[in-house]
Amino acid sequence: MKCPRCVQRVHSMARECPHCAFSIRDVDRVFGQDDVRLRTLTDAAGVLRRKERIALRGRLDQFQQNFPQLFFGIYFGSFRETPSLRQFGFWLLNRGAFEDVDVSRPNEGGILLSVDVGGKSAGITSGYALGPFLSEDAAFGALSGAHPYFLEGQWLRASESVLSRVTKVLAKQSRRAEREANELRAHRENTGSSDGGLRGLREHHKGGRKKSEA
Amino acid sequence: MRLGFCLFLFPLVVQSPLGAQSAGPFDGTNPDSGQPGASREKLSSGLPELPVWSPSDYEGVKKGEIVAGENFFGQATVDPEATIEPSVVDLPEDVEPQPERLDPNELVLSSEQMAGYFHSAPEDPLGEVVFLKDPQDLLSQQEFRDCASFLSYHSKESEINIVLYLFDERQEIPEEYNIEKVHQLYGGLFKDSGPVVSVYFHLGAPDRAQLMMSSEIRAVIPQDEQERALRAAIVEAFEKTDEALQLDSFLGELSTRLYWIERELEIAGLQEKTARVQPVEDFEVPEGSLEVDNLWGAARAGLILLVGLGGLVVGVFAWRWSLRQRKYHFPEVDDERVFGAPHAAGAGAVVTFVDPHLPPSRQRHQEAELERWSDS
Repeated sequence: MKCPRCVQRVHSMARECPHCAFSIRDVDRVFGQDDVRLRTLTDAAGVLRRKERIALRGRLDQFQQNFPQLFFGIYFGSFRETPSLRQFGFWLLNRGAFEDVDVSRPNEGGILLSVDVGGKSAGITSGYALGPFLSEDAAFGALSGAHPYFLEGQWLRASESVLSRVTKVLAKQSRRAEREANELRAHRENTGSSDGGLRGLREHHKGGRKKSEA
Repeated sequence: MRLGFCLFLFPLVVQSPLGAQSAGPFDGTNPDSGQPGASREKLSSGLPELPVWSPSDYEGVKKGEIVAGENFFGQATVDPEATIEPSVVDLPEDVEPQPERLDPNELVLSSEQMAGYFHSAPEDPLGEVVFLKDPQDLLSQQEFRDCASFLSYHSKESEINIVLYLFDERQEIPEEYNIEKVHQLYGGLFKDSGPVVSVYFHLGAPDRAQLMMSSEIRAVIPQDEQERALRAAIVEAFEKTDEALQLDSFLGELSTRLYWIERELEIAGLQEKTARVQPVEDFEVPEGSLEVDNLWGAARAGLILLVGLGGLVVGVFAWRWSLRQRKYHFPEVDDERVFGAPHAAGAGAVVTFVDPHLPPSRQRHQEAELERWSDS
């Protein structure tokens, strides 16, 4: 895991970044420590037309149908000063209360695409539940695929492209996780029915004891 | 050698008139001395004697009274009344020899001669059919081989064979061997060769050529078209004067004409096959059978294509629908909370889209953001 501010690797149990002392309190001081209410599609920059918003909401709903544990949020904003989109995404996914997302889907399973229209940058932040399944490189790959549309200001198509690529990555990771879980379950069942390994060790120890006893 | 030749010529030069003049003045004693043989020769030739210089002429020349050659440039001295003996005799003009008058009965070929044309299908020593019959040996061996070779070549290239019977220019064919009768009686000789065109060709008289096509050709090709082919071949033959060349031209043009006739036969045969395949009860309008068949085949193919496309579209939609309905689950992960954040942590990924000329990898934002950043 990397720090959102200094982009240095940190331990998964670190309460603050050992390099820059970053914690959520830093961004709370900037954006506020209270939860903010918003929807999965928030066009604060006003770049989407009505039809585009409807189409994009449909895609987001479809994502939630395919992934019952997850949700996808999109935020279009425009920031005047030097952008730190990475920290903003981190804060929003932690403090955001998404009205159109069921409570059974916590923010740990959330993926947030935040776009700074004025600063011309876009970022992806994901919850804890997706840590093992959506790597930084995979997220950057999704952004790279949408890069031409971002350059042309085609926000709908850019968002759809990111959503599509993330969906593919997650579907693949889901199948892989399911396969590995089945293998692990089968392995546990096999090891539970036959404890030959332990027996061998005990036998070895027994032998040792016998030898020592002798 | 050269010295001997000069010594031989010297007396002749000295004795000639030129030699006499160049040797010195004429003495005048005997102008004819030394030339008795020549005078006799002149007399014997019957021509008048040449003029002779006299001593007075010589004196006149010396005094300038006589100019040598003066008469050549003066008035004509030839007597217009003079006649040349002997007088010219008009020769009789050449008269074309009258054609040999033959008895018409002698021109008619006998039955024995005609039997030589039709006793069997002509074959060459190798057993191949030869489509040229010349039992009278009217052609030379080379001409015969050339002509037979052309007919054989035509037979390989065309479905319609040419069977050529050669006759002399003025020979008459007996009535019982009329080409129509012969074609009916002896057409079986070439029945294995397919459609046949029999030709009577008189060497030197292409306009007497006769042509008869077999029944399967006549059933399709109208009579006037057959006659046009014959006339075109005759006209082509008259372009040449040599008999053998006339025959070559005749056959060349006829072969070309038969090519087009063959095309018409093929079209007619195709239509006949199509009509034969169609069941009678199926078509109400027989003349449109081909169009109906094509229409039905096209409709069937279109229907199959439509069904296939429909199945493909339905399959794609079903696949997409199944994808849309598919649920993906993830195992629960027990993560420790990092940075005190309740739901999410990590740097994620950020890309800028400022420069359209740089690839996304060059615009990936990975620098530290140590400065405080505030929202507007």
